[in-house]
Amino acid sequence: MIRYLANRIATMAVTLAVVSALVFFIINLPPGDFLSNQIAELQAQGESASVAKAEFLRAQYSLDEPLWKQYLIWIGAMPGPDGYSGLLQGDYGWSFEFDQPVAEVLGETLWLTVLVNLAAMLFIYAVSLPLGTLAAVRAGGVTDYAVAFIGYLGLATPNFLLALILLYYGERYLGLPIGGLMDSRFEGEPFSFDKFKSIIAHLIVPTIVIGTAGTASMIRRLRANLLDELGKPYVTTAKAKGLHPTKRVVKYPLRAALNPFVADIGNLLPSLVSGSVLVSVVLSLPTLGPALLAALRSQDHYLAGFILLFVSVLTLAGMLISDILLAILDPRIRFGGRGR
Amino acid sequence: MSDTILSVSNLGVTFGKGRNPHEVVRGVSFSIPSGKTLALVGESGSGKSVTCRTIMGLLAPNATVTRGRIDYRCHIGDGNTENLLTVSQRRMRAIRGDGIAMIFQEPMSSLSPFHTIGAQVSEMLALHSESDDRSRRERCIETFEAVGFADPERTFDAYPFELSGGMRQRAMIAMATICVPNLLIADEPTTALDVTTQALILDLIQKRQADTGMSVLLVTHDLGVVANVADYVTVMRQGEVMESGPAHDLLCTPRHPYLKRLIAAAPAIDTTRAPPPAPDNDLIVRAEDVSKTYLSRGRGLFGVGSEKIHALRDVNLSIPRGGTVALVGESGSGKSTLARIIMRDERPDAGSRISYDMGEGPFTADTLDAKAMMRFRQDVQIVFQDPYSSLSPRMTVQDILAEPLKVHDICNRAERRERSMAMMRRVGLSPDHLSRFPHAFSGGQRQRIAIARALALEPKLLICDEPTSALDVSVQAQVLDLLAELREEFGLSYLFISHDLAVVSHLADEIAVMCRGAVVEQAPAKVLFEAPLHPYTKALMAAAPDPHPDHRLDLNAISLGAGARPEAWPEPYRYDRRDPLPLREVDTRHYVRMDA
Repeated sequence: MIRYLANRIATMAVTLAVVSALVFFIINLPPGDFLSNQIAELQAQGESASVAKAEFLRAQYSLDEPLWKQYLIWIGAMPGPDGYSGLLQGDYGWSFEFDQPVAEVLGETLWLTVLVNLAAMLFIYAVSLPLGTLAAVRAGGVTDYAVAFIGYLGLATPNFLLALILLYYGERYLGLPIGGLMDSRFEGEPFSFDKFKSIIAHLIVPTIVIGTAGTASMIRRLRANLLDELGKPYVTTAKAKGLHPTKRVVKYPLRAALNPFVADIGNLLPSLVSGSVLVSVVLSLPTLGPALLAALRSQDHYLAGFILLFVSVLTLAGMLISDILLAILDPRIRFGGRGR
Repeated sequence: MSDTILSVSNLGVTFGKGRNPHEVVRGVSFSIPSGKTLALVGESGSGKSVTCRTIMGLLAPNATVTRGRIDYRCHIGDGNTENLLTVSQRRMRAIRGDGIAMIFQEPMSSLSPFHTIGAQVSEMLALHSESDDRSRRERCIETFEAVGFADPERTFDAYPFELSGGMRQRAMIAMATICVPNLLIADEPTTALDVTTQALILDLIQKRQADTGMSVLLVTHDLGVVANVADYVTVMRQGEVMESGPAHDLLCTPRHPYLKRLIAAAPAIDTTRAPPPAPDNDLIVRAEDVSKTYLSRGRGLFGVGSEKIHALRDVNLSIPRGGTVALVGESGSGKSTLARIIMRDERPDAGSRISYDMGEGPFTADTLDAKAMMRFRQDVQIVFQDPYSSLSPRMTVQDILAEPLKVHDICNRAERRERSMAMMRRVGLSPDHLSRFPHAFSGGQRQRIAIARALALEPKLLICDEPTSALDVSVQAQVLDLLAELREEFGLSYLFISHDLAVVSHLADEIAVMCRGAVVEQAPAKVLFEAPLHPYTKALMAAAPDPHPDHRLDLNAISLGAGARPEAWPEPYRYDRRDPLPLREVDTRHYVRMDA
């Protein structure tokens, strides 16, 4: 098991290196960069002082170097003008748009994004596990159709519409706060219990909104998997033992149907980040989605590059978690090589 | 009768609801005496499995019990019985596993792959008797020992996929008998197993019966199995009971014509065939020193520590033109690998030499260019074991039969139709059925279609990979007859693969017995059947069950050779797994792997 883990982490590191290179080159694919655009603008206005500053920045960030050197400097594998200062050293780069280090621009956004997506994922699993199981066990019955109806409703409703509706009624009947992920007075404040409470209250609507669409497809997948498993002979064996119907389903076929369910964690994370941009805008959530959109539009390439890389790390972490869970759940993966 | 443990009276079960329900069990009655074995015999579709599933309350939701009763006596000797069709769900759950237990046909899939054997077996105890964890474990280990596990402690913590089919079926028997049920229902418990394993499992069921005094309801299609274990027999056909009575009387003096036919069709080793003429040198395939090694998937990133698995070791085999060579052995013996190599589906290891001669001079497959390879594919065809999965369910029979002709661009549409119709007639099916899909046919009919497809290209060599293992015995005999006729008619040569010597004896001129990738004995059929030398061959022969109740299985002979454990064979045949003994010619064309 430890060997398996070490293996997985080693492959993950290699993957991450490849992904980082890809990200960097993709970000640099569009012609020009933030600074060259700015310089062109300044030159048009004839402000030579500012041009000189921009030229200085160009040299400072090695933007006149070949791309592969820029990449190596960015990840910190090669000394830049200030020596080794890249991702490996914990320097995430400079945001030209905000004129601040990327780390400061993003600040709390990073872990808030993780928080929102984690909450949405837990919501998806918490809702689709019982509903999908119910739909499979009662396949073809009223419950099955009711669950399918709920699922399709979630799939078909535009997220931002659902967001607006929930915001309105949540505020009106439940007194839920509107917009953002915490009261404005807590922003940038150190962590406290009140801040935590505020975040939880703000988290309810986004979690439901972002989670609904994923829930629908997850229910369908679980239902299909479980239906396959329910017909397997080992389920008949369990019945022939005299096992209670509920325990029979939960202990045997559900266990098998969980495999694809768990394997989906890795796929779910990135789709949640990119899928929730619109919702984040509507709900004015300080998450990575909107930040990435803005950074891409202004060609603020260190910022965009870092966000993309962060999402990749999330994905890889998700994959790792699902692989570990799979190995724990499924002895065939754990002991595939044993005893032969 | 107060010593009857279970009696089924006038049972009726239908499938499907609404306007056209299909009655699959029609007024079936039988009773099982306490401590005895009743065999429920019939071909597929006779309703025997449905009947025993009804007893356990395991029917699919689309099945309905329309009439009858099933009286079960919980305590032998007292007068009270309960009707299993009307007892509460709760009571039924208590009876399942504790009073009546069941084992199934598929040992591969009847155990959950996610739980250890120990967890699954001890769950029975947890459900039906109130013992604590430790005593449950102890009792499991005792039972594992009783069902013949060499290392019961290790078995307890093993997962099903770590055991062979026979071992899994032992685990199932342990599970079913650990609560000491009054009745064990065994639904085709040995059909999916090798003949040698089958013999050992049947013996085990009888031993458990002697230990616990339980009754057994054995469902099977194999009269050879019945003759060996049953006290009473009930013969079913199309949902009705044809004949029932004590096993000995019924099998020795069958009255009903259906039972007579079943007995006649039961495979028995046929030693009456004339020995084939000594082969001249006209060989269609000559394989020399064929080996195949696979690397097991090693652990680690780059497969470090992978192991070599010898699927085939230095096999020599020649198929004379117009002759039939049979490969016989338990599953995993390498016979299918050899067939795949001969049909060039896989490449042998370097150093193996295979030359072919389709009538236009010898060649090897390595030298063939793409065009010659197409020609080679046309000459070598295969019939697979399972006609249920070897025919595409989305193609009509016409499309299935015409596809090879299309692929090789042999004739135009009208001719293809013409040829398909001729092939259908030749394999004994009506050409009117060409537009039907495979699911409209029975297993035997599907196998005929598969044979027709293989013959469409007029091959020279036909490889038959267990072509009758998935079929009922009466159908099996018909398919074998068909294959024999086709061989004469089209001048075919056969490479015939089977685990059953009785099946092989009807066709083969020469037989190679394989074990662990090596040929252990090879001889002309008549010689092999009359004077087998190797303990493994003897075990295979002894394991083929005979429908005559006076010819019981010789378990000693079977256990001497079975299980493919060369290190357990008696001298001079014993060898270490790593380096087998040489193959010696003990008589003309009779080779045995033994020490000199």
